[in-house]
Order: sequence, then C-alpha cells, then structure tokens
Amino acid sequence: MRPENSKGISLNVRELTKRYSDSVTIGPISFSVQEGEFFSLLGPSGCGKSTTLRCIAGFEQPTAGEMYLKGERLDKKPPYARDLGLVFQTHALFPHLTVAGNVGFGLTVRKLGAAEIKNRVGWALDLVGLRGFEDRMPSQISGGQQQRVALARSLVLKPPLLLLDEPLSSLDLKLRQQMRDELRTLQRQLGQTTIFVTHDQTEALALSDRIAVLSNGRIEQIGTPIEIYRTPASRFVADFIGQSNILEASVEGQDGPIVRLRLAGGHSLLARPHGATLRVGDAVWAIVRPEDLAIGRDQSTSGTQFAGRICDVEYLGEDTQVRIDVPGLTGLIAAFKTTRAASARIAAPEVQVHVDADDVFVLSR
Amino acid sequence: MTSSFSVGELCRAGVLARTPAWVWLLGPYLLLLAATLLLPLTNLAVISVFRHNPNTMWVAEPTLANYTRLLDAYYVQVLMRTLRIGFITTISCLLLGTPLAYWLARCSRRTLAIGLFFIFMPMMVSTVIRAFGWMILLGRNGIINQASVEIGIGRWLYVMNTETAVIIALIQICLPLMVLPAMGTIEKIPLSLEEAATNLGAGPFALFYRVVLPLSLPGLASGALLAFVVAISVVVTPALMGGRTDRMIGNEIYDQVLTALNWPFASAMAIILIVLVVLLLCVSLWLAGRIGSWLVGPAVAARA
Repeated sequence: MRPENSKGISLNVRELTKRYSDSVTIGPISFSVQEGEFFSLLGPSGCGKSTTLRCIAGFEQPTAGEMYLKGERLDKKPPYARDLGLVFQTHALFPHLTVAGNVGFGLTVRKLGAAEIKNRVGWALDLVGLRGFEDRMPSQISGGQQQRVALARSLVLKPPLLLLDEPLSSLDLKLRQQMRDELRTLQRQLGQTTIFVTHDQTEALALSDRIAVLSNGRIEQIGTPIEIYRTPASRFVADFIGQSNILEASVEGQDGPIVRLRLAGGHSLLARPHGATLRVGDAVWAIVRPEDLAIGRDQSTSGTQFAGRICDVEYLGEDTQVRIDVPGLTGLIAAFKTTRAASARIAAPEVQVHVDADDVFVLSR
Repeated sequence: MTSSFSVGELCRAGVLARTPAWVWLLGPYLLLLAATLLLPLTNLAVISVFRHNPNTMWVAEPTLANYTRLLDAYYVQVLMRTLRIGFITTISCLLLGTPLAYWLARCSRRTLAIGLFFIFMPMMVSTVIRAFGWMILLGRNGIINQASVEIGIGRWLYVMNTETAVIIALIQICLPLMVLPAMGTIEKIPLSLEEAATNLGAGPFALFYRVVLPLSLPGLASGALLAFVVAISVVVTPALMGGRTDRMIGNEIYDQVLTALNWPFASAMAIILIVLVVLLLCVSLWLAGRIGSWLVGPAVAARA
C-alpha cells in the first residue's frame, strides 16, 4: 500500500516507562516496528504488554519515554488525534449502531460525505466478508462476525498502525484458528503495519514477522519466531515459548566446536554452542526442546545418550509426549509424532534417549 | 424427602400449585394497588363530576362545571405557571445532573460513596426545613445580603418570594431524582466503548453526543420524568418560597380541599394534573426515542 517507504520505520518506542508504584513498574521498553510488519508483544498476564499498547493508543500516560510514528512525535497527541486503529478483546462495538454505523463511525466523526462513507464502509465490509450485514445490529451477529466488524471499523480508516489487543481470545478454538488465518491474509494483502498483543505463544509464532517477548515489564528478546524458538535469549524465553527441558549445567571441557557439559547427577552432555564463548567452569543452562530428544539408540551422530525409564505417556493426538526419568535428571520431556514405529519404541519402559550436540542450546546462567 | 411419592406428584395434586406464578408474584402488589390507588382514583373521578354544595360538600348530580371552571383565566395561568416551573426545573436538572451523573458513574468507589452522600443528604431533610434554609440564605435579610452589606456592596439579592426562588428550591429537590437513574445507565456503558470511540477519532464532544448520550438516554429520560412529576406536584415549596402570585396547581388543590372545602373542584384539578402527567410521560418517551434515533442518525445514513 505504501511502496514509497515500505522499508521505513513505522513506530519507534524509546525507553517507554510506566510507573504504577515503587514496586510495579513497566519498562523502560524500546522497540521499533517496520512498515508493513506484523509485530507481536508476547508475554504472560501482568508483563506489561497491554500497558504498552494502551500507552501507544494514548489511553495510558507513560511516566517517561518517547514514541514516534513515522518520525512524528506520538505521545504528545491526545488519543483521538492519533489515527491508530485499535481492536479490543471485547470487540467494543457500539450497541446502538448498526454494523454499517459501527464501521462508518470514524468516517462520520471525520465528517465525510454520505456517499464516500457508504463506499468505504462497503469496501471494509468486503474485506472481512460481511457484505450484506450492513443493517444488522451487533447483538444480531455472532462473536466471530462481531470480531470482523471491529476489525473493519479500524481498517476502514486505513490507519498507519493497527493495534490488536488479544482480539482472538474471546473466540472458541476453531473460530480462533480460522480468524488467525484470515487476519494474517488480510494483513499481508493490505501491507498493514500491525502490533498484536497476546499471551498465546502459538498465535504469536504463527502470525508474526517479529515477536517481542515481555516479562515483568521488560523486553526479554525481540526476534523472528524461529529465532525466539531456536535461540532464546534467556531462561524465561526458553521456558515461556514452547516446552523445554532446562538443565542446570557447568562447562567441563572443550573439544573443538563441541563443548562437554556436566549436568546434575554426574551426567555429561555434548553441545555445540552457537556464537557464545564459553570457558571451563562457566555455569550455564542447557536447553533441549522435547522434539529433539530422540527415543532409541542412535550411533550415527555426535551426541549424548541417556538411559532412562518412561514414567508418563501423554497422547495429544498427532503428537505424543513422554516423561522419562533419568537417574539424577528428573522428568526429561520428549515429544514425537504419533506414528506406529515411534509408539513401538516406547513399548518397554526402559529406553535410551539421544540428543544431538547441535540441538543443545547453551545459555549463560 | 418422602419415598412414597415425588415432589412432582405433590404439585400436580394441589390446585393452588397450578396457579400461574405471576399470580403469586404480582398478586399482593396488585391488590394493594387496587385498594390504595385504583379505588381512590375512581372516587376522585366520580367526585370531580359532582356539583359542589357548600353544606353537603357535593350533590350527586353529574356536571362538567368543575372542569369548565378550570378554563378561567386565573386557573389557566396557574396551570401554565406550574408547567413552566416544571419545565425549567427539569431542564436545569438535566443540564446540571447529566455531567454530575457521568462523573459519579466514572469515579472511584470511594469518591462515589462521598458523592452519593452529598446527593442524598438534602433528601434526608424535610421540605419545610429546606425551604427555611433557603430563606436564611436568600432572604432580604439573609446571609448573602447581609454579607454583601458588610463588605460594602449593599443589598442586591431580591429572589425570595419569586418564581426563581421556587425553581431554585425545586432543583435541589429534584436533582437526586434526576442523577440516580442517569448514573445507573451511564455506569452500564463499558469504558471500552468510550475508548473505541476515542480511538476512532471522536473528541470529547463527539464522544458525548454519539456514544454516551444515546446510550444513557433511557436513564436521562426516566430521571427527567421523575424530576418533572415531582416538580409540578409540590405544595410546600411554592407556598414557602414563592410570593402571593407564584401559586402552583398543588396550592390550589390544597386550598380547595382544606380552605374552600370544594372537593369536587379539587378533584377536577387533580384529575387534570394526572392526565397531564400521563400525557407528558407519553410525549417524553416518544421524544426520547426520536432524539435517540436522531443522534444515531448520521451514522445510520452510512448504510449501504
């Protein structure tokens, strides 16, 4: 939509801070969002993601920090003059207005002509597939349709930045997945710069170009979904995104690119750290994703082998998750696709578990 | 729990249990209403068409004389004055009460408790005492005038015993009746709606008349109606606050009942007052609907 500055920075947040009391402080938070990017703020409740969004929208006044939208100072403007789209978790449709009245609200307030309002409302309703619903009242349409009206109401104004405050969490699972796909398609199609606030890591991973993971009012890591998942910057990120086996370890020795770690219980674990310079004696976290723990003997690659005992099996449909007790290491979690061959490997309780050195992520402690 | 038959069988056996629930739920109140409202009202309507007689109070001869007497210039004037005072009081209450109701609906719990206390406090004092309070404050030798004399401006406030004084006192009486229902409806408007409107570009003014006002209209209408009904039916306030020429219909009814002992004429006036109130109720409800759709109008025009 805006090819002339498609590589530019849309929103720039610098040292944004919101102090509620001496003990409760959000920030300082700094990040910038590229034009056309789908950027997520992800974190558990109370991490400050909603506060950040409300500061951008202007409903909270930051204690300190600055915000710029396309180089223009944003935080000094009143909320009604910021021209940002915001979709609420509760949809917040006006109950006294029809679908068309809701979608056209921003245009009416801007005192556009009736013909133009009609045109643009039609365009927005086409976008979300609700043409023909103009005269319905919000109470007469389903939750998913309400969500689309809320989206159309923001998109009709062609906002430079769209803010989504957990817009999917009030929908049921099937609808949520469907809306997620539609949202992504729509965002791509319009090249709409979007900030998405969520506590649902699956949503964030599926939708985002980049994710900022927040915890306790601080940004833990900003990166693409793959970076966040494969190379977490902190123990919190590793723990929060997906499932992880997080093992306390210390560096025992180095053998070329391969590092030998000593785990609690006297086990050794081979790892190939990426980038990080480690010295013997360093205290580290060794992080292994459940899908990287292979059950069964594997001699082909450099790696580590554990002997353990299956103590819990959980079928999740297409995936199976097992908890394996290795003496000294309680509850290693391994996951694999539920195939017949894989299921056969956990027939006996005593199993061998293998992890490749490349799949062990090392984090300084 | 008996084992020989179920609760369902018990219910089916009893005749009383077959009676629809509303009989039990509404019945007692309907009886009370019939005894204390419908019966006296019928009585009132009947007496109002009887001829007045100074010795027996009334003779059972049907006549419309009591009603035609209301067409006298004097009574038309009283009626018009009553309506005028009612309207001015109601509009003042709307203008003063709506912002107050909004503020109360949106303030913290603690402020709300204090605010409600101040709203309710005047209602705990009798109308007579309140009128005397106003006299002390607004009177010719009242606190305001005396203070003005003290600081050398001289006496300037001559509001006691005028229609304005009646209206001032009535606003104080009617404001809580206006504020409470209005506050109730505004409270129910989710804050996210206000934020959504703001986010879509509505400034404070547009936010008020496009979202808050249409959504709180039912509360404002019922508050205004309560205020109006109370304002046009007062007796004590115009008697104490108004002058000899500021009598309202309530004062006339009072005098006809207690002084002139002309109950048929008093009944006719009471009936007219009731008819007026019911008519205005219909008109104001219709008007609230019209205003509602007018406020919503511009956005509805956006229909494809």
